[in-house]
Amino acid sequence: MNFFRKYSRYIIATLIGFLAGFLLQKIFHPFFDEKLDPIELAGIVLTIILALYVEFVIRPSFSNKESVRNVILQQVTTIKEQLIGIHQVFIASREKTPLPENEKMRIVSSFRTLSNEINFLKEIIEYSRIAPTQTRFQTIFKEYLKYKKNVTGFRFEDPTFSYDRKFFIKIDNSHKEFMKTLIHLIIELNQS
Amino acid sequence: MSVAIKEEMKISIARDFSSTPGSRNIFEGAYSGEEFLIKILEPKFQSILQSDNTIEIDLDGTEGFATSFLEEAFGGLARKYDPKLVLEKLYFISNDEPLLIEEIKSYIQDARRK
Repeated sequence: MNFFRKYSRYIIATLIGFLAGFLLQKIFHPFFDEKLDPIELAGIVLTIILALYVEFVIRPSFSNKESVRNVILQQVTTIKEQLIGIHQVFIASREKTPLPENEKMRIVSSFRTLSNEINFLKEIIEYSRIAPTQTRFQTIFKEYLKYKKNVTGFRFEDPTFSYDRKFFIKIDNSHKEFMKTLIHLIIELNQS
Repeated sequence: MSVAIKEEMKISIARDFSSTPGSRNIFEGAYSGEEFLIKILEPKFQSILQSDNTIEIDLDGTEGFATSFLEEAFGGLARKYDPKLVLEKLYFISNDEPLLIEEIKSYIQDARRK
């Protein structure tokens, strides 16, 4: 029903075209071939319908999918950049003993920004209803929690806290895993 | 005939506790997750256990939460009480960081796996 409402102008124009054709044939019938091949006529009608269908149904649906995919890609790239930023702060502060309060605050507030970017991605994915991406989002969220837990968990807010070698390996591994899930999503989107 | 009225208790972490939530345990410093659990969350949770009431926890207005604070406060409550009951009784509000709600719920669900 929506199809007819949306493309009614084009359908009416096509019908008028046909009608005009038949009328012209009636008026100037000596100039036209009297025999009408039904197969040829069906071929013409089908070609017109197919052209209209491709132009007004298939192409817009492809371009919609592509624009949604681009928005998701852009958001994943933003998350990736945020994650790199947090990891750089962590790398710069891991030698500091104890970890200064302002560095802790910077890390916590960076995680808030990252969390909100991930939430935005969640909203785009939910809105676009692309099922495989929704599954991938759950992995991204899981890896985000793991990474945040490793960076700001344990005794992070303890005044004497500093990242030691044990923390560094754990955090670095969870950072790699998190990054991997983001890259997997980027590849998936580029291949779809 | 008595009618049970479902009431909602409210806790704003920024207003009722601190706008700069701190560490995991009390001995690590002020405004820890453990302190929040003992002084605010658990007493209110206990007071509604026998009723249909819920607790609304407003997470907005703080400088942010480290995992250690959230895990000790909410995961700590789920280690003392049934995690399902904790999830039923607590209702979260987080406009500053919406994903925080799912994060806390994951700490409650995973609390007993530690």
